[in-house]
Amino acid sequence: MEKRRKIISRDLRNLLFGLLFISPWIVSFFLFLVYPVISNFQLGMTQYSGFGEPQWTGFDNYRQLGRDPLFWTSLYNTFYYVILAVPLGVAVAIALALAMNQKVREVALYRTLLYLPSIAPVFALSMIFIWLLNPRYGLFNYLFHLLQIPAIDWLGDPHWSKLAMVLVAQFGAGQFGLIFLTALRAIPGTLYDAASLDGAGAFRKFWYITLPLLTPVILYDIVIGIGLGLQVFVPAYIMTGGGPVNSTMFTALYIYKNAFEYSQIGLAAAASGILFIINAVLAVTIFWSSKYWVNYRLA
Amino acid sequence: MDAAVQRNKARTDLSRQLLARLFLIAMSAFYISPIYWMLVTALKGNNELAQFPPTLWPREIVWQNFEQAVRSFPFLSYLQNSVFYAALTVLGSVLSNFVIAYGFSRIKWPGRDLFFYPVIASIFIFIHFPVNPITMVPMFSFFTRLGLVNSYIPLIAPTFFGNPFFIFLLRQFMLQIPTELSDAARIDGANELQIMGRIILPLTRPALVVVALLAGISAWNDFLGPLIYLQNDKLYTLSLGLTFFKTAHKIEFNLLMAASCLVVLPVIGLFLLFQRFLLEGINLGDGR
Amino acid sequence: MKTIRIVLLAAAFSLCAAAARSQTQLKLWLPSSLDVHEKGAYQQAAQEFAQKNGNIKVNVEVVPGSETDVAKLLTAVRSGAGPDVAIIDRFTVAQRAAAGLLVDLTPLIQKEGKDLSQEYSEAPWKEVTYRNKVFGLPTDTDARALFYNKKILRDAGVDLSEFDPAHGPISPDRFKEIAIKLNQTDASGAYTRIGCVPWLEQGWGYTWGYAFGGNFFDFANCKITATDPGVVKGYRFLYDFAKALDPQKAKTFVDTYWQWPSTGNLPDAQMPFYTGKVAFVITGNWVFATIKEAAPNLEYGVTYIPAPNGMKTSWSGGWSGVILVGSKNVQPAYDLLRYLTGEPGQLLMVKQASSLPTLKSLQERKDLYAPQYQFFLSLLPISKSRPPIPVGALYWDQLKQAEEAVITNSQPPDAALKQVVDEVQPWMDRYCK
Repeated sequence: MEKRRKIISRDLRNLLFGLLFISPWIVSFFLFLVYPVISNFQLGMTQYSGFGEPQWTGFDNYRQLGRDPLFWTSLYNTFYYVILAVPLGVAVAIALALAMNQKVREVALYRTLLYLPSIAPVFALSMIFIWLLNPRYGLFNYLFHLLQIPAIDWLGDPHWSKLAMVLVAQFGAGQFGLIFLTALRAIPGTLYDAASLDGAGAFRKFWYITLPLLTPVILYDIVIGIGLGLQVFVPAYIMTGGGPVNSTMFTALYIYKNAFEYSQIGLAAAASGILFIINAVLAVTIFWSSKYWVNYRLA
Repeated sequence: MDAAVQRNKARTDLSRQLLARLFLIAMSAFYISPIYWMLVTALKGNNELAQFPPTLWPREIVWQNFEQAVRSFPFLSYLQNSVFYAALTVLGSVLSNFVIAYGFSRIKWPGRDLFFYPVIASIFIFIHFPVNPITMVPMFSFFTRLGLVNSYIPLIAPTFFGNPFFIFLLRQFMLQIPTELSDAARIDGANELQIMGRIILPLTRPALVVVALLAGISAWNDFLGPLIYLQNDKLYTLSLGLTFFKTAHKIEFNLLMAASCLVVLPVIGLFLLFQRFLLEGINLGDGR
Repeated sequence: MKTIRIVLLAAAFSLCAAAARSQTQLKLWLPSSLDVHEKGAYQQAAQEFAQKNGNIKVNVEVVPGSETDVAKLLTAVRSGAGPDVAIIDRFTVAQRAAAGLLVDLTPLIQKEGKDLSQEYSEAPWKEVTYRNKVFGLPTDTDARALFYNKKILRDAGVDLSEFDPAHGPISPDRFKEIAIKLNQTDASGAYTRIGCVPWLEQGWGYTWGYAFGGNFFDFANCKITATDPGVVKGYRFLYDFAKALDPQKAKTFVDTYWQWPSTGNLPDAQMPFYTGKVAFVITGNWVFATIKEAAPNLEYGVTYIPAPNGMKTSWSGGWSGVILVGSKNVQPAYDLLRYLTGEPGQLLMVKQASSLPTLKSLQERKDLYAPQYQFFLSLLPISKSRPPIPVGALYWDQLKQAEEAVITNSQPPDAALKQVVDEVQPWMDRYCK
């Protein structure tokens, strides 16, 4: 009897302590996430310039968004970016990891060089890229020039500008390469030996052993990649301002411009709400689908 | 027979290594190209800058570019602000995330895992922290009503309430510390705070270094936050100051690149110093 | 006890003394896109004002921003950290007034008892009024025209009299014919000189739309009229010109020798017109000051913008001073504003920044202007302005995007302009009720 009460009181004490310790996070969760998300929908129902009082307009902003071709362009651009940048990022990261796993002696050097751009400030990288991608004075076009390939106006031509953004995003793939490398090294060599005995070639080994065992990291990479992709802002803001011909007008930039340049706060909030829903739906779908393709057994 | 197979295998290994090496060299060159181009451009004179084809290495190295860049905008004031922002972000992130992660890993309480799901889920939104495009519009209104815009509070205060990515990272690390250590201390009569401070804190230090580094770098690199919340030239960080400087003044690209060097090189320096920690830290965050 | 009382008394006393000596602090914001001479003129005018009013101190700050991007101003005013007075692009006054950013000046003007509307030219005055209330005071104005490099034309054997303003504007077709002949390429086929890149500098959609007789807004029906036949013709001109140059090669040329302000910067001395990289450019009177410094030996002339049927066209922009809501010193701010936009301020603008005044009294003082300005003064009566509508900034941005679509030949003019209407009209509808 005495002992049981002690256990209960210890549970209670632990519960209180646990909640106490995580309480800053609870505050953060409600103040910095739940509140703004709800507020997005609330503000989204008003016409509000930032001055005076918001005026209730119901679903007017959502109708307006539906009619605004620029909003649709921004969604198209954002999806285009995510669909290209994320899988490419995973592929590049895996390729880098596979190469680094080949017992190359100077691997530490590559590790450093490949990781470096991931921590360099994106705003500074963006400014560098303006010059790096310049059709005449840029390094890339100079190399093209040496190879007799015609110069590309990466940031000035609407056909290339989104690809230029995708290219810039790849400079963050290095750090995922290192995560994949760790995962590769954790795969027991006996698995491959057994496969060799069965006569499996390099490709089959990769497809049936390596890739399935990398799926947890792939999941992680995709989740982070989609989050980053849907919120992409800085490269477009600095390099192109959304142009040329609105080809790099991403949804985040659309929200920023409406909220802080055109005084359409209600509409910007409505657009943020929609971006949140897209983000949430994608997250849920990916986590739900993960049980069909992510292999946790040997991980 | 056996020897032949061995030889064969060694040969394929060698060719594979060669291929891997070529690929890695090419990719490293590609990855380092922006930093290389920044450095080279920063050292070029005005005439060489406008030359076609561009030179791959400055014919004449113009160190004065750095001096001129620093003099042509309030570099020191921006630097001070960036350091201030980064330092307080480090403080807030280390303090809050350590305590929160402790609550999620070292104390067993009913509902702990249930509470942890939202942490994982919100990584999605908080990928940019403290300011991200999804929540920035209402948060700006919120801080406006409190009269806190045009100060560092909207940028720094959130870091004192935890960040899901760091919580996750520290929790993974703390879960690997045997529970017996805490239990033994408890039997010896230590209370929770003592256990946290005397036993877990020292053991978590490597992970905390990673959090400190990543938090500091993210504040140093933050652009959207200062863009929205800082209205006064005297408060600008390097990220904002540099970008605005580019639009506000007619400046040669070599000076802009020289200034960029001064922003990027500290980050690179820090990285090289603490590389070991960071590379280990990455593996903490890989989800397993 | 006693000492405490004395301390308190002393404190109270010193507080009173401080209050008596205290100055009114006014904050004046200038956008960073003003050129250096304009900034200088405003700064000097503000200092003069402060000297004349000993108890007022004016802090001038240059704030990042452009014609349409006043994000910093908007967020600062919302947060209470905004300035008392700001200089903003005049055609955005209606938009900022509709958003509630600006203080209505009508009562202050009435209190002063002068009919200011009679002192300023009509077009700029219209731009600062929104729904019959005055929200700003015009500072300077400008006008656009065609600048040509006499030496290049002479060397190519072009008859300069074709560009004599006395003969009126040259026809766009003839202009294109002459310009294209002046192109030069290097061995690789890249342009080293282009006769004219008609969208360079001030060759905006507005410029060419007006030149072809277009109309951008229908006030009677509250309609965005970017698809007006004249506007389409103007964009068609840009489209065909780009096609003749090869859009890709033209773009490379522009990015090399002249960059959009958003992607890079070029020091004045390297502007393509000054260095002879282009023979023609559309720009405005403000470059006289720059040319004098950056290219003193440039041999150039000025004439009307090419237009069909000898139609003389130009359009004017310019800035205006406004008072921001949240200013705690509205009356002193108004006094400062009157000084900046009145004769003393505008005189400085004319002398230092080669701008044209909006005050009729100064326009009439011919002694103020060098001969080359006379031409621009003569443009003012026919010069148009951008429609002062609450979605002016968005309209401008979208016309610019359509211009990019057209000069890259990625969209034909009518489609690109229809898109502008589709994008901007729904926003305008919100204010049409």
